[in-house]
Amino acid sequence: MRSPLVELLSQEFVLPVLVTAVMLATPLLLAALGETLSEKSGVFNIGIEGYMLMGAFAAYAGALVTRNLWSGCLFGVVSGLALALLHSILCVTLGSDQIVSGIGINVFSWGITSFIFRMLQATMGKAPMGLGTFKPVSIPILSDIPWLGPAFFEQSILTYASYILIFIFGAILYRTQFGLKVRAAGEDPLVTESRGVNPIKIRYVSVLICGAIAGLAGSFYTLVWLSAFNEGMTAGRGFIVLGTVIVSGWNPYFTFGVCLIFAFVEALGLKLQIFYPQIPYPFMLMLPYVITIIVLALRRRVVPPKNLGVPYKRGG
Amino acid sequence: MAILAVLLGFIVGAILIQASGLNALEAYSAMFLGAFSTSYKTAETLIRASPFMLAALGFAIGFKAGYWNIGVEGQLVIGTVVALWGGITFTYLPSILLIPLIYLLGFLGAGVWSLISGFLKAKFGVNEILTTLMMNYVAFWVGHYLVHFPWDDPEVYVPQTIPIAASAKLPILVSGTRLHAGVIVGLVSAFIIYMFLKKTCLGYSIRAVGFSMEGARYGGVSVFKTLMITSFLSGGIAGLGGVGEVLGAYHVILENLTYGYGFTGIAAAMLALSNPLGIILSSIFFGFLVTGSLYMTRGAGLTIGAIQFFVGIMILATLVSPLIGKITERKELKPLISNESR
Repeated sequence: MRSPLVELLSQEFVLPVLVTAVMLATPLLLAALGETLSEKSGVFNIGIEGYMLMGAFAAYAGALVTRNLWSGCLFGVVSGLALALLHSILCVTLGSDQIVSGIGINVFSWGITSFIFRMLQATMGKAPMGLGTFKPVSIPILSDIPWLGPAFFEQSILTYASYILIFIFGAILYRTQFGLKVRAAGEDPLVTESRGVNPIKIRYVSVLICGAIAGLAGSFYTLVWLSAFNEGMTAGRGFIVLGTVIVSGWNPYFTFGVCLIFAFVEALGLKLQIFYPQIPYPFMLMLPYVITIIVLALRRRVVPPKNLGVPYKRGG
Repeated sequence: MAILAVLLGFIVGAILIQASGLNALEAYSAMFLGAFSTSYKTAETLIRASPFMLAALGFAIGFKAGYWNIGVEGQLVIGTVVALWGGITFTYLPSILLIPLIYLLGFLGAGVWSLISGFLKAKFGVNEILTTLMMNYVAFWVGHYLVHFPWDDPEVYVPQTIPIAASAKLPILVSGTRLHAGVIVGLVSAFIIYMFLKKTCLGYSIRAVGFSMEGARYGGVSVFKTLMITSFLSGGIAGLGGVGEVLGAYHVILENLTYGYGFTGIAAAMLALSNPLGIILSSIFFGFLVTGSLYMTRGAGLTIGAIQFFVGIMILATLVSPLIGKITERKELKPLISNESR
């Protein structure tokens, strides 16, 4: 008989948790990269929860209709893009309040996805199962690394895409003209414009990229994690993404680690549920949110882009 | 402007209803009849409106101080939890003492809950939008736990708590309807908050902090204290909405009893531009949407999503409607500006 502590540290406990953590980190990471770009350009996307939820639903429905997982992904991306377009028209062009628009988008997405989903249920008698999921692909050699190999390199294709996107986003933000313009638009759009760059255009592109990638993040839930849709299935993970962006100090490279930590907490909660059934599961499920609050309270010395959340009108 | 937003919302709604294969006109008339055709239905509309009203008022107080309390959703849950606890614990008290006591406890409970985010904001400058959103989910799971575990009614098969004592139930105002006294709490709160913001010193500080934190500090207002008080009041008032649902409307907590109420309240506050008296009207409007949509959609299962979807459109419509006003304004101003620039 091993002691509970040894039990906790044994490979058969930790490894599945790690695998689940990396898996759950993928959508957080994808969405966080998009949100980082958008916030760097000065636009707060509290509606990212809505983009993800809409993406999850559109990917599920799209995959069912077209019988193809990849086109399901495309549906997810396009739906996120559409919501992001709405957000940018309202907030970038018209200069409305970004938080109100975000709340509106979240409530709207929640409503419309469950409305259509229930309609599907009503007409078909039950909710149709999804098309299936992207299967994990193990990367030769790398997946043989003890512990880390199976966790990081036996995942689905979307997870690998997210690894690559970290570097792409990092490079865009810090190594390209466009990245410089994005950061400038978020720091001081007036000066940016006086240098001949249109901050409105930059913000549009950033928000749209954010919407597309958040839509992809949403597709993860219905095309990798589960092969089905649940009402409100993103369950506030979009808001956790907003937290990870702050905690990582708007840095795409740090974001990976931060998302992993949050996903680890969630995975741990799911696993502990099985190991300690005497602790009621709601306490495990509230863990990620509690941790987010604590981490936000601890990490306070981060400086946001100076004009984050401030609408810009051309010509000052 | 609010009317413009409502109109806009209805138009977008109609397009989407039509697109989903239903007749929009029929749906809307069914909705209106469903909400107002009899005194019973009108009462139902007011009952629905009352938690929205309190949530909206709570949000509005925070908003006036520039404090985004998006946690009203969770504070309503805490209100229901405390009300149920009070209603099954202090059963030996007579109604006249018990009901005010529960209201007070609900106010304190939800206020303190909200104060967690308020304190983090006031003391450390932690973004309250995120913490209040997170607290919603924590509250949701706390409520879920209580409904499924310690307070679960073993005699009912759906997840539902045991009922509160008869002495804790709010009296019915109009016989033949379900109109309970909790509705008055919402109306009275709206007037009190209106006067409070307008006429009291504290109300002034709240508005000053909302206008400019630096300016208020410079003018001798303690921003820390004001934010603490605001977040407490904001959460407490939203919590009253939850108390009313338990003491007046349901007498138990059902699973997801107040789901979506907080965000509907926020929409109501937005529509009324956070004016407490305007909130009375905008909340009744949302009450109408909810009761009406029960009759609009055919299966009862369709409703939650349909309502949220409408509420979302309405929030977005409040953003667009002032701009329509601005566009017409700009046309009048144009010659003046172009003359100046030459």
